[in-house]
Amino acid sequence: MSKEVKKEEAIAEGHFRISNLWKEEDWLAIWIGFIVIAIGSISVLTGAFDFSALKFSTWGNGKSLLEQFTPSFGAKLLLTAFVLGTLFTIGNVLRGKKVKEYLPAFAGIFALAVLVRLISAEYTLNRYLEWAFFALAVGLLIANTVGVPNWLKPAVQTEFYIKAGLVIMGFSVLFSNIVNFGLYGLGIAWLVTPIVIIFMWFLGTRVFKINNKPFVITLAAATSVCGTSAAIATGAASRAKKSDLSVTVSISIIFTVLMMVFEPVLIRVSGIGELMGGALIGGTVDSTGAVAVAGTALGETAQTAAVLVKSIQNILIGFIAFAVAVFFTTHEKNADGTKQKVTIAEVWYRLPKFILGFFAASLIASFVVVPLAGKDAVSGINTVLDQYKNWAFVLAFTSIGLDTNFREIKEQMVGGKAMALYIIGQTFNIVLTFAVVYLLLSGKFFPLPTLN
Amino acid sequence: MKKHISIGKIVKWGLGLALLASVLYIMFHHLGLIDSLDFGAGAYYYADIPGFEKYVDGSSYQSQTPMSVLILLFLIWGFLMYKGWGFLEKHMK
Repeated sequence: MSKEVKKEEAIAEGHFRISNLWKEEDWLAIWIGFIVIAIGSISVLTGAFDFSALKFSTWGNGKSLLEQFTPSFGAKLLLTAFVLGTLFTIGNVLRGKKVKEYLPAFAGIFALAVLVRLISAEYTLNRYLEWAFFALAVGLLIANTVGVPNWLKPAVQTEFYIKAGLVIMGFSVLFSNIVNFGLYGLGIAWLVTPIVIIFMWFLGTRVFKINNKPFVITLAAATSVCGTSAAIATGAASRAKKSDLSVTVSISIIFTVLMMVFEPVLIRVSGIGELMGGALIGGTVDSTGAVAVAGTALGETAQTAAVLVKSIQNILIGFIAFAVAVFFTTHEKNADGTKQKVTIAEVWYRLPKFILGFFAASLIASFVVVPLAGKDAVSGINTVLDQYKNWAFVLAFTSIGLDTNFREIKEQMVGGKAMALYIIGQTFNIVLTFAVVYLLLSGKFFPLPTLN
Repeated sequence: MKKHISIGKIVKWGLGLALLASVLYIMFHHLGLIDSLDFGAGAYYYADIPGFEKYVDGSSYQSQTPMSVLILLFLIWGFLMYKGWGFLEKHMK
């Protein structure tokens, strides 16, 4: 075994080649992400052409599904398929895959992604469940009934789609949002989050003795940061299994629905007020959409406080993913339980490079594009990019479903420990966030902020 | 051979089913939604919030603390937490 480890170390050390930049999955994902960001930025800033990807409008509740099938629908569908198909096919060719195998398979996966987005645009489903849920469901249904046909398998590439989607998402994570709510926002969003992650890590690995550490950290990040997006980033950073991500996202979505409905009710009953209530919602409800809805249910001040806190918490995704990647790289142990000595060169080698792409996109948007073009322009660009990110993630989650069987999902629940870990972790998150919110926003210790 | 079903298992399944039933009830009755917001916990983009500009142009709150101080505090707390995590991982059995 020690020989194997030494051999692995030998392979790992000093093997960065310039050709990695166009042959390795992580680097290719960065290229794809930045090509989409660049074209999207040019289209918005110059207004010369429309680069928007297809977005399904809500149907149901009195609105027919057929209403959205307009000529522009067809054009956008073709544009989306062309852009993603071209970029991912080139990426696969550079990685040594054959076009004649990948392209038909991509067409098949893309058709499934269209179906997923069509289902998730239904009025009720759109408002409560994320597309990730339906992508998993459609993929699982096919994989566990008729099975995945061989011709489709070359395009089942979860990690590649996730990494490209994350780089695109990086552009929407504006670091300048850190000033949105001053010290109040930073205190509520940032004091609590790492403590909750560390708490859930030790609860999961030491108390519940869950051996699957990437799963524990993925669930912890989803609970304390922002649900699905944080799970995707941290899961990729810790090299979590596909079923880890499936279970984490499913648990997070189910509890987000419950918290979106019940948290405003409980806050109103408790009488803590809109400002504190909104900040508590912003710091504890997983999904950003649910934060906006739950905050609005309490009132205008609560909506503002909730969205401000969440906008700061969303900045954390990249930092948490980076910290997790470094932690997992430097704290790996040998088979005999002793800690490996890891050099800086090896950390660089093992570090998932797409995280650098995520950071670069975030920093460029925050400190280059915002000062030059303004926040409105960046918002416009992100409106375009958001759909490409969503399509990449839908392709990824459909791939996860196609690559997973129900038995794996059942095993992943580890006899209810996963659910217990989430519930205890989320309860701790709520209690701790409330303590910080009370300290900062009750008016007893610090002056109350004025929100417009 | 008789299969033993423990109380713990019954409680776990009961809680799980109650959870799913609650979510389905909420969805069926459209509980918690806001008519003026065309989104919920699912598909969402921040530009969908009415008047979202105030969240990005800084007009919703005027911070007295410079960005550099906030970034410094952010990095210090992050560094301390990361070191604390590593310390506990090493010493907590």
